[in-house]
Amino acid sequence: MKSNESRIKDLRFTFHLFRRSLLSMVGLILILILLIVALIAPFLASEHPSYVEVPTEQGTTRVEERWTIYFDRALQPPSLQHPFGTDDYGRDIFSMVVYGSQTSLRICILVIGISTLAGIILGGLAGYFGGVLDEILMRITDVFLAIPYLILALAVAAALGRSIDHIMEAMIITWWPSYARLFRGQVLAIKEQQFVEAARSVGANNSRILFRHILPNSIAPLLVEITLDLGAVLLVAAGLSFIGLGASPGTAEWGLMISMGRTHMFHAWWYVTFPGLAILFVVLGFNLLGDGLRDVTDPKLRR
Amino acid sequence: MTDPLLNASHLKEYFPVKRGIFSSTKDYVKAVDDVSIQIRKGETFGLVGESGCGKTTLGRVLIHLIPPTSGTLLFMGENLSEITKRELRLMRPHMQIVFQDPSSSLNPRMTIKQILSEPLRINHRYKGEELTKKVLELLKTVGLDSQHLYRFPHEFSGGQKQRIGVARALSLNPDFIVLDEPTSSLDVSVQAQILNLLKDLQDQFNLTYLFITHDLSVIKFISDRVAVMYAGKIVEYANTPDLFRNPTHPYTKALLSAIPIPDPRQRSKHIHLSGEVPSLITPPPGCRFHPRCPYASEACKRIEPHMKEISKDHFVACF
Amino acid sequence: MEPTPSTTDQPLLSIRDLKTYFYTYEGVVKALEATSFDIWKAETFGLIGETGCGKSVTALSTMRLIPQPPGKIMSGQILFNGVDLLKEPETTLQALRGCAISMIFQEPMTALNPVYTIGHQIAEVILLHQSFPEIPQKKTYNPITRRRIRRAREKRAFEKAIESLDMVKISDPKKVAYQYPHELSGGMRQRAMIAMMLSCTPDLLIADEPTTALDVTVQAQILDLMKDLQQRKGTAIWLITHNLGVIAEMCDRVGVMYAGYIVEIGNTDKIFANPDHPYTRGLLRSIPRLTEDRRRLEIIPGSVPNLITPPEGCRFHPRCPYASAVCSTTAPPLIEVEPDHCVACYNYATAKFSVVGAQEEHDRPSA
Repeated sequence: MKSNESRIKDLRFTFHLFRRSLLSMVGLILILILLIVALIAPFLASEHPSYVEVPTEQGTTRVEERWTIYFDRALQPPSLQHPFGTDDYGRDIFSMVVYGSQTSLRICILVIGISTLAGIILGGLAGYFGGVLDEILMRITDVFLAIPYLILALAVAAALGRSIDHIMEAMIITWWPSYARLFRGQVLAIKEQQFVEAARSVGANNSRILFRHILPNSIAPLLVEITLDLGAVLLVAAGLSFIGLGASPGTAEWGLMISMGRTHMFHAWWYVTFPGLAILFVVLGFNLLGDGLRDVTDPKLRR
Repeated sequence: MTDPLLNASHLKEYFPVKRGIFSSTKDYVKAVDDVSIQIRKGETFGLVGESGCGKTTLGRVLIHLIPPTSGTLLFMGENLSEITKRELRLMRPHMQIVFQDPSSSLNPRMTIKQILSEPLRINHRYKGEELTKKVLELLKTVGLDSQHLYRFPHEFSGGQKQRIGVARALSLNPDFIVLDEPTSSLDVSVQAQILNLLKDLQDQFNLTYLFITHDLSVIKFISDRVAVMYAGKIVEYANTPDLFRNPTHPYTKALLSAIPIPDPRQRSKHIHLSGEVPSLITPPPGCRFHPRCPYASEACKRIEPHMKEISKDHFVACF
Repeated sequence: MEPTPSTTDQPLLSIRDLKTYFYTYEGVVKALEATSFDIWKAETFGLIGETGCGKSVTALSTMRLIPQPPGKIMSGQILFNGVDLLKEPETTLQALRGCAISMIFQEPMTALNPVYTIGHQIAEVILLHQSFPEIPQKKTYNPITRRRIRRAREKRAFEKAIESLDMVKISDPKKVAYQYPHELSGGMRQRAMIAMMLSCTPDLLIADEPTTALDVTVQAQILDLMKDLQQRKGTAIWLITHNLGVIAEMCDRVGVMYAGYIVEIGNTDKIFANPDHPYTRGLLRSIPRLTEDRRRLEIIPGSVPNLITPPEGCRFHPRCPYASAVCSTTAPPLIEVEPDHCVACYNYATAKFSVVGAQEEHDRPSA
């Protein structure tokens, strides 16, 4: 029989389970839309930002987004040329929302990606080797777990200036501990399984056991958590930008746009609405997708 | 008389019981307490006992999957506790193990081909085409074939999974295989197939087995010599026919009488054992069986009995 | 041991043509096709078969505990004391469960609730099904009196729970009643389960592999206990197991199941002495015996069929050495071979007199 038949059959069953829940499919579609929009942003948007180098307080330079300003068409309601209307500087909101998807996606992926990596490495080492190493790593994790992300973001912004990179760093620092804990728990459970013992009995060394046996079997709950967290990260980032800690003014970031649009809320409803809707649908999409994944990976529902 | 393949003396395996983070551990689970056995090449040595007696631990200690707390373990002449890690790695292929639960002893995310190639790959034996050929050979030896190569463990029945476990144990051409309750989770008819297979393989490859189980009828069928274990100690061992004809230790007698016989005309009277299996952390003083033994004397409560030879090759630890 | 049933009595439990299917992703699992048997009052009936033959499904169907989304009882009758359980509403079943029909399961650890004490759990069953004539009804009193009455009932139920623990020969039942399941050993937990299920003196006790998870010596204790309780209380026991030795020791009558069908049924002594169905014979020959010395075990070639696509006709025919043409078209009915001994096989006679006993065939597991 062909070498991939089993895997394909398995995948098909997984997809079937997934398909049964309409909401999960909705979530998947929403995220797919996000990905597509982010990918074809330059082709979708009618106006495009430029990127300039700007000196920072430390003496280095930083790249910032700049949108052309058209005072004469400020705060125009949605129309054919400007499907989402224009903001108080005359910039096309639709294009900004579209480009904002790229920013948001970048934030989510980087924050979650690095946190997960750190969490897996530290949690995995702690769980597998146990003993003193476990204790030390877990205490370090506890320390980081205690840091509230908001305070840290404020501190970083105060010290180093506001930028998206800084809030990403702040988020990574506070996000990885929960992954470390989660993964360590999984590793502890899988470590005791007989097939790990079997691998040891045929002479597998630690790295082989970790990568080929423990990791593939313990990653499932982590995947669910990651998907849900992608939405959470987006919300946090938008929130930090909203209160002025993240993106510098003029960047097309959804949270920032909502913040700017607040003052114009009653006479230019489109300014806050469309970025807000974007955040809503993306976070909803991730949540539904994560829920769907959780149902699919539940061993009781399989077969 | 040739040297035994495996010679274990005074093996002890104590697991510390952790109490709190900073306390010094005083309590130990004495899973294996001063056990000495010799296993001869080519024989099937049976190890019987109920749950909690330490037989599973002993099986793993004998192939140094768990390093013994103390005692000497001589395998093929080498003291396994004193050789380096690398040397131990070299010895590994000669001593393998088949696990009890076929479902959890196979990695659910690996195909059969991956599971069986792993030992071969680790020990630098084969690669590529040759590897596939060798894996196919292994499958045939245990009665499976090429269509099973790329499937996942959950697609197989219990009996087939256990065959895969046996194939994995055979892949490195071992001399000695520990079989830890290999048929306990299988149906009766499948058990018969596996037992026959094991016997055939033993003849074919000149293997030595340590067969661990709680089922005395299976032990009688498959082993040449049997040891009965209770609470971390071996209480009786002998050649199989002798043990069943002349069980001496009270625990052995009770164990034998408890087995339900599939013949309604012989409804045996069970020897009633009161009480429970003792805790291995604080075993009873003296003979560990004395709280439940109908023949216990004063001496039994204080002194641990030593192994005595009561007839040719038949040893008992009892007064 | 109870004697064989008298023909004038009505059987306690009568299952007729029970058909239960499970609707799964891979297809319809035809777990039970036309299962029929009777259990008489105060007898021990054994149901033996291997994994997947449908014995547990039969028991769960009787108690109507089959999870309805995948499972469905398609047709058939389950007559308990003359009442068809499949036609009764759920409330009737709830009144019967634990009271007239009780069930004990294989894994006592998972069947007992870990956050309540043993005594509490047994008392719960007692409170549900028993009345306490010495305590007045609580219908029309003020709240305080009602509470007092309720407390009195609970206390009395707990006392009865301790009594039932004593009945199953647990030493120091009072102490055990206040313990939690995880504090007890496997044998004690199973005793506690038996105590719970016998506390209301049911007419029928269904025991689904009660000793499979226990050690041999503990198993002997539990089996002795069940026999003793049966004699004292007159409960009928429906024992489900895959261990032929247990059947031989405990059961008056036995039914052998294979792939959803009863293939042989009747008096235990007679079946063991003259097993007629090829499957039964294969089973009996494949177990290692203490009394024999054999070089190899006999095996039944092939393996248990997939119940989504079971074989046509007799489900055993692909593995049967005596299969004939008719075996692959129609399922054989139960034929009476001798009084109280029926076989579902067309060729049992040829099987009996052939010399094809020792099959040294190399095992041939199917995919």
